[in-house]
Amino acid sequence: MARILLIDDNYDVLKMLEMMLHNRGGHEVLLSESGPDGLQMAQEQHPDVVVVDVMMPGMNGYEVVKRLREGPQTKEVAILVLTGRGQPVDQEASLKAGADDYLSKPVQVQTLLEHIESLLEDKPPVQAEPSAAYLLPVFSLRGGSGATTLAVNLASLLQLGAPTVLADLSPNSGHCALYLGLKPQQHWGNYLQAEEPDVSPFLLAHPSGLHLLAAPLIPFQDGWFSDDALTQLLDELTAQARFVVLDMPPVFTPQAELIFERAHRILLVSGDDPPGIQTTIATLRAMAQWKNRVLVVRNALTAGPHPPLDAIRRTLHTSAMLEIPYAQEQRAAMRKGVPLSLAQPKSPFAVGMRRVAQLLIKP
Amino acid sequence: MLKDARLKKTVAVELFTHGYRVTGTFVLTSRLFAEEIYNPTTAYVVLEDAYLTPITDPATIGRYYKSLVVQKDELDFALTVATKDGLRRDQRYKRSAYKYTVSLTMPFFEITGEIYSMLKKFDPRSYLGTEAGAFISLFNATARSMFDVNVTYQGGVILVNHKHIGSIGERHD
Repeated sequence: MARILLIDDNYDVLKMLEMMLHNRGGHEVLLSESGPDGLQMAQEQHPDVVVVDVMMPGMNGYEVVKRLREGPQTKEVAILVLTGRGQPVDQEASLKAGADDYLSKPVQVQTLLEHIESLLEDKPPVQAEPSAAYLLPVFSLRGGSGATTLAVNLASLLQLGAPTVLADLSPNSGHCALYLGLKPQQHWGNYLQAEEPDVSPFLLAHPSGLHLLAAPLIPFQDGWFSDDALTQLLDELTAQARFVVLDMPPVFTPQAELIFERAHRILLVSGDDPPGIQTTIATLRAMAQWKNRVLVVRNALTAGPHPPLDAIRRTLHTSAMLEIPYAQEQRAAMRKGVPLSLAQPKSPFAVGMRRVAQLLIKP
Repeated sequence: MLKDARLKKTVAVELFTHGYRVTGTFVLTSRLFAEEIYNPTTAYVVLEDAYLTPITDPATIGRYYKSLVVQKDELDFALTVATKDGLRRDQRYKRSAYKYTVSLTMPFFEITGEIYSMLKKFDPRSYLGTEAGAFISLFNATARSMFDVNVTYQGGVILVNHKHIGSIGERHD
């Protein structure tokens, strides 16, 4: 249970949020109807999380956030901005003001509780279990769902905490190297042909410290990994790095099952159009034996409104689902060879990816 | 002391007029928000707890008004994030058969969205003619600011004042 301070000038909203957080989340809740009053309560009551509205007469929410960050007693508190202005420009303004997270009104109970939980558990990736390497496949049976983008960004974020390898296992034309601005002169095809079973010479180094096992740009003539070769590769990668992120091909093969069997967690990437959801439903059925390891993310590939996340959760019968917002800066980041999570760490996309990374490596 | 709860149904809306962004709540009475916008017998729309911000600095929280009146003739467009909040009652149950993606220009904005029509071929004259009504509903729409093309406003519905449209065309990309 955490102590949560709610600051909103609308009494109806305050009471509704109190009901959500106290009755459903079991948290202790403090209420304040204005910015100055909320700042005083924050100093005196030491909340774990402050949830603050933006549009308030007198002192607005951005000002409240700035003053919380300036106060010696409140500068470390987790801050969630809850705004009726839900446009991208408003979300960026919330994060620039110093908030850790934001949500748009109206908010679903489950979504609010998840964001609060994530703020309470906000720890750098390096605090994962020290003993074992983490094998984290990123998977989607539907091509074009953005799995490669998420794999590259996930690996880049994990590298901030501990040595990480990203392996592009595409059998046709992998694009991880392109996203990182690297030339795939060495790739897993060369590794398969090598006489000595050592993957190190075939890893490409990104300036961030991340290492990449690239895929060939054209289909490799000697085929893909056998079970033995794949097992050998996974053994080597997990011996070399703390985190191993696999950008999986969109096929459900015995080799994919081998990877799932060894995976710590599995990131399943879903679209939110009907075919994308249909594919995710079928994939979850096929992955029933690993369902406790699966984290589903809805990756927004287009701007504009999307179906409510709660509705998709109900359709998929899973509560383990997060949302990655659309980011139009993705192409510019790719051109520069710097993943967006590193280039714009305060962007809504990067905030979403950090939450994914934290959940994937949660002990 | 906390005030007594007032029970009234409201929707969050954004209006854009004369280079200003107005964010506020519309109190639902007998009319839905879109019906109030479309209603030809009223000249203005009233928002409560409204904030007025210049679109050149859209993220700031500007001047606060407990109640703000906006002239509908002077309105460029109105936006609701949730589609259901931007529908008239007749649109809640049925939409026309044909859908077009269109782009149009307004003062300071380019707007792209979907139009539903009874006509099999897109005909801009049916939207720009004086007898067509003052507003057009664009679904899944995005308004891009001409002051900063990186600033966009996304809405389940954008209600566009057709008298302020500079150009309109169907998109095929």
